[in-house]
Amino acid sequence: MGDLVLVAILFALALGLALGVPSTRSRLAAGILGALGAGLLLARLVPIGVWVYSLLFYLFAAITVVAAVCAVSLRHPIYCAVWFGVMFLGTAGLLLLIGAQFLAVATLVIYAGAILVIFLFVLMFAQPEGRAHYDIMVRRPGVVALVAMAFAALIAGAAIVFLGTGELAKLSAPAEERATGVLQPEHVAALAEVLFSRHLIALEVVGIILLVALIGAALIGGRAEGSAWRHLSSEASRNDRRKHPGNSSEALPEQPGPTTSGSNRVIDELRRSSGG
Amino acid sequence: MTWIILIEVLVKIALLLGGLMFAAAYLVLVERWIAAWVQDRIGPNRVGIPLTKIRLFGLGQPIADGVKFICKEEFTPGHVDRTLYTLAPIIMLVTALGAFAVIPFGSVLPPFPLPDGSTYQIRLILLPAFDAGILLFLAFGGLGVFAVALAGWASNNKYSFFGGVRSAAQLISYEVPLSLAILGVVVASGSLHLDHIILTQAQSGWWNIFVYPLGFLVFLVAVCAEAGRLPFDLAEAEQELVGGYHTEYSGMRLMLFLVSEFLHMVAASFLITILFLGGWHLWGITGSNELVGWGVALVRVIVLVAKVFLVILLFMLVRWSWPRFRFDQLMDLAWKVLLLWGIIHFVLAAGWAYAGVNQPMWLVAATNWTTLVIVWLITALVSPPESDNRPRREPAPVWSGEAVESPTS
Repeated sequence: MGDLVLVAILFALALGLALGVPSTRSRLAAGILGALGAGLLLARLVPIGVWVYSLLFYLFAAITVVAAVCAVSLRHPIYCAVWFGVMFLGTAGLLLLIGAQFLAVATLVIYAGAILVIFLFVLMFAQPEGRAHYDIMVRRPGVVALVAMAFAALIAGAAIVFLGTGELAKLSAPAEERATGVLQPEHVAALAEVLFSRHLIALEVVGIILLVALIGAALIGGRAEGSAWRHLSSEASRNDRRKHPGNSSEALPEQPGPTTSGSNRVIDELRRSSGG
Repeated sequence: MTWIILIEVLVKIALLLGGLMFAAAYLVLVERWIAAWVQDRIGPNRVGIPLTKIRLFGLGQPIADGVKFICKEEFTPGHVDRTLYTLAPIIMLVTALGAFAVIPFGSVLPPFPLPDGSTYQIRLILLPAFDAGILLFLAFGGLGVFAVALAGWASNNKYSFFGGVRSAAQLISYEVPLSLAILGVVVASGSLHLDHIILTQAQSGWWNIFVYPLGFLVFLVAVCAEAGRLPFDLAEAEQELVGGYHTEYSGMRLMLFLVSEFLHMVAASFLITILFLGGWHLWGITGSNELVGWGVALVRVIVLVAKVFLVILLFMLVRWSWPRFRFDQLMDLAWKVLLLWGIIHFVLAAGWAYAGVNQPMWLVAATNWTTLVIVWLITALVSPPESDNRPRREPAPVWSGEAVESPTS
């Protein structure tokens, strides 16, 4: 138990240094402390099942953890996003290892494939020019590291306690149920059966929440310029242009609707000054 | 048992890698022949065996191209982000190849006895036990977008960046109708596993193209856009848009991108064949059982590959027959036409699946074909043909606090 506490302290220090003020020296120190902690932890690793399985498990676990630390501690947003993606790859590997094929692939499709690419778009367009480090650094690295380690200790402690009493084994499904569930050849069909019978209400609620989010996004996005709302009003101008196809760029059709808003006034003034 | 699985997997990977790389090289030659035929030229017919006069119809051309790419200078511009610049083509190739892990390239081989008395059967697919098959294809497609966006950004060149964003937006948009078309077929055959999807078509004898024509059209167009083939190749519109995300690449790295794009097309052809054209099934020749002899197993592989080759030829003909879309037309097609068609296809398929498996196939097919005709007519009537092909120039966008009703013109 004592060396586990030591490992936790080492990791907390490393994380705090990595998140702190960016300098080569602190990064190096963080790397050394982290490696030391990992070395101590390595001595305590227990084999799980056949050696291939434990090798793959620890490999994927290491990838996930290292990628997660890189994702939060690196300074460059794009690299953070890339490491975030690597973390999802590691997670998908872990899920595949316990036989949850659908969950693994869904993680890749939804998180790595869809959400992360959107993140990437935003980050690429908001390229930080002349990066000021107080803008992208963590405000209280010590607190962050402490909380993270406390959380990890909570999980580890719970796992150790429950493993000791055999409660965890009761929580996870017995082997024969797993054989007819996740490990059976028609994995997706079995998953669907569980999802649409035992967890039907949860599934429906999630669907409604996603729909609400979609409608909200459409509403908020519609208020901005250049989207659905405007498109409705622009039909008129396009029809107008069809009537006079020759001078589409010079003759701006009259804006429909009231001209009270600020942006409208600005545009009107611009038009007047350019003699339009 | 473990060693035999290991050998099986390694042999399959070797076959797939070798076959795909060979196919990619020679499909380039086929594409150039087709281009020449369409444009009434002669095409590449000179390169044969070096230092002799033997030409072999130009069959040496891919080798010469490969040597050229290898010998070219691999120039890294000074202003790029080196790590990501190197990483992007690697991600692209890995994701393009990874999609083939769940694509069957045949049916099954007849079981053969092992030394310990048991029998062992090989399925001609890299991951036979992976039940979420087609989802993995979509996952790798999504990761490919990542590579495109990263390549455009890491090049640190405005035109590369715009190319990357343009291409990524296209790929994300067309993933939606693509998934809908796939979903319909998946619901109809009740499995995500491509082997199983072929088997259901083989057993009923009705290929999905006859039963779900709407889904086929949506899938064909969407997968063409996903592969970045010509009507949708805004990724590399050299003539108009200064290349795309790979403007700053040269040498082998550029070749990785080009090979990946070809592999996308090959994967797309495999998927069209498997999802809609019955996979290895051909009436009267291949049968539809799981237990086969060597002859039938071989015939099935040949039928599948022949179908895939025909679909590839179709892609190539399309490439030299249609002009490129403009970006707003591209987006209109995805979001205003294909998305709706895909939803209709999916709802129809789900309805028939709900009605049960015992419906006569001709009835299902007749309903779906009627729907196709109706949907096509409505689409054609609602969206009038635009003869004015100039980009729309509209007044500056204004939102004045409430929805603006359009005056009747």
